[in-house]
Amino acid sequence: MDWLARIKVSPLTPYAGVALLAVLAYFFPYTSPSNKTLSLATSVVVYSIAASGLGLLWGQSGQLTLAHAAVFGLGAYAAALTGKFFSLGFVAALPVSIGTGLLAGAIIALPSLRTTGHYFVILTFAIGEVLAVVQMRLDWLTGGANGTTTPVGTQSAFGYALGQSKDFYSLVVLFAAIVLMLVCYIMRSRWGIILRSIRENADLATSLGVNIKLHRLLVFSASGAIAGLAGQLFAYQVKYIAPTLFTSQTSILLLLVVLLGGKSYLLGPVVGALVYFFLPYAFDLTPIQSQIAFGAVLVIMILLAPSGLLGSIWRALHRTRAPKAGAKV
Amino acid sequence: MSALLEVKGLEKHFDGIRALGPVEFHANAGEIVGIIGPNGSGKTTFFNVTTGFMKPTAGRVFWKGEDITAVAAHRRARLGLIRTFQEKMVFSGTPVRENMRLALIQHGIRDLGDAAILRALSYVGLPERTIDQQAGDLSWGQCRLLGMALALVLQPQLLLLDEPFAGLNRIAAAQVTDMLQRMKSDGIGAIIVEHEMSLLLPLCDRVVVFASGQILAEGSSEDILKRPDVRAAYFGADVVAED
Repeated sequence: MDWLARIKVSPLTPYAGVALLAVLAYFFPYTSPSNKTLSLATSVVVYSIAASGLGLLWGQSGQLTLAHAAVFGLGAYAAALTGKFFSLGFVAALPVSIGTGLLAGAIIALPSLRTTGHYFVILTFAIGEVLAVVQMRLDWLTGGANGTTTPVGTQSAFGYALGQSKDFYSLVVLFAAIVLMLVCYIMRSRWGIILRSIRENADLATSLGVNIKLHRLLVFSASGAIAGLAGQLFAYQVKYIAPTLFTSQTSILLLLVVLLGGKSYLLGPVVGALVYFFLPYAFDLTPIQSQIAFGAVLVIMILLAPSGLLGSIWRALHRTRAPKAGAKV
Repeated sequence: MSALLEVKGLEKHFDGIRALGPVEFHANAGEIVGIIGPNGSGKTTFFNVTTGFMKPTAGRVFWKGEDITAVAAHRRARLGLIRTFQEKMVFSGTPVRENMRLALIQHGIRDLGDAAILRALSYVGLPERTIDQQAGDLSWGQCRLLGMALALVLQPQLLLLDEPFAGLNRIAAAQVTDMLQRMKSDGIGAIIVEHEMSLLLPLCDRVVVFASGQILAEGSSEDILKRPDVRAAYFGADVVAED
């Protein structure tokens, strides 16, 4: 596999790859898929966006959170409630849902400035559950356990009719392309290097002058903003949201999606979401069978392929070069 | 000579037990100070408190005459007070190139090209080919050198090295010695905690001996090991009595 080492990758290659993937995905409805397939494809793209936020946070900066679904939910509620109470349309609600996610991300980050590791993960689990309870108890605002509807109506945004499943899918793909390019830019930027240094060795990064508290706050905010956007897209996709959709169980689903694809890879969340949504469909699994299958997959991935499917593929391609690269001197 | 780093009455207690202090200490610009002492004598705690990784229970830390006791660890690093670690030497999950890029970014260098990185690697004696390797794939000695390269890119005025010779074979130890001598001739000061006295003492302008969290003795490399109290602290009173 020495040919791999000889390939010169242009700095623009990842962006071109994302653009190509987006074009392919954009034209997917032209293959005349069934309603079920198109609905699954829309879910794949929406969850890819949400999971990209988690991928940025977990894969790049090493911060694992079980409150990501809660932030995703806050974005969804922000879009649905501003539509319901203030008649804000899709475009006008975007800054609200993104801003809500950003703010929620920053607030969840605050404990991480004092606590790290397992205790922080437990804390985020608690935060996620508390937010779900709050959404449940504020029934005058959120509709409580009955949930609330998103007033999609005959709205259109950027020339796409939001009530039309094909149009909505195409719009979601455009948002996914923008998010993936943004995450790609962050990963390749100086900030990306700083985030990975915190992931790898926070003490060493501090000793080299990195303000890890500031960068943790920033990356949580960025991840929250992406989750907020995904939340709005989700609210407009399903048109009905309830607190049970945003519990820690959904956070674990998002973790599984990121882990399946590969948490350190830009396209890891996309691959993970594809597998998560299309595998049960392809094998015609019932929900119970899917849960058992993904439980088993989770265990297998953690034990055998912790770097995810993309990581395993990457390692397989480099296997013949590995002894040379890893030679101890 | 004015002190670059000065600590006054520095103490650190853990659950009411005094692990360090009170300690009075100073290091001058360009000076290499060795810190020796038995395990548990407070050497690493002294490093942690001085560099801001731990808050002192009492006492003050001064940098060029300014009180930096309340200054965060990352800000102290930006002032030029840089430390290395015994174990956590490098960012092992990323390539050497990215390790070095982080240091260049922190030093405010815009050009993150390979030329600047290779210069830094060559300064510490790491071969050029290591630039593409994962830092975690380097040998222990190379990790040690890379850790020092990361610190040196930031052009420290004072480098605090925690056991730089630990776990090194003779060849790697010689490389570290060469690098420390180069640092010394370039006017970079260092405080070195080390057990390998045969390697440490020839490098030092001054040696400070820690025992039970306090400074037991201080003096030149030639004189310090002749002192019976130092030998007793290190080897035990029984061994010294048999001598």
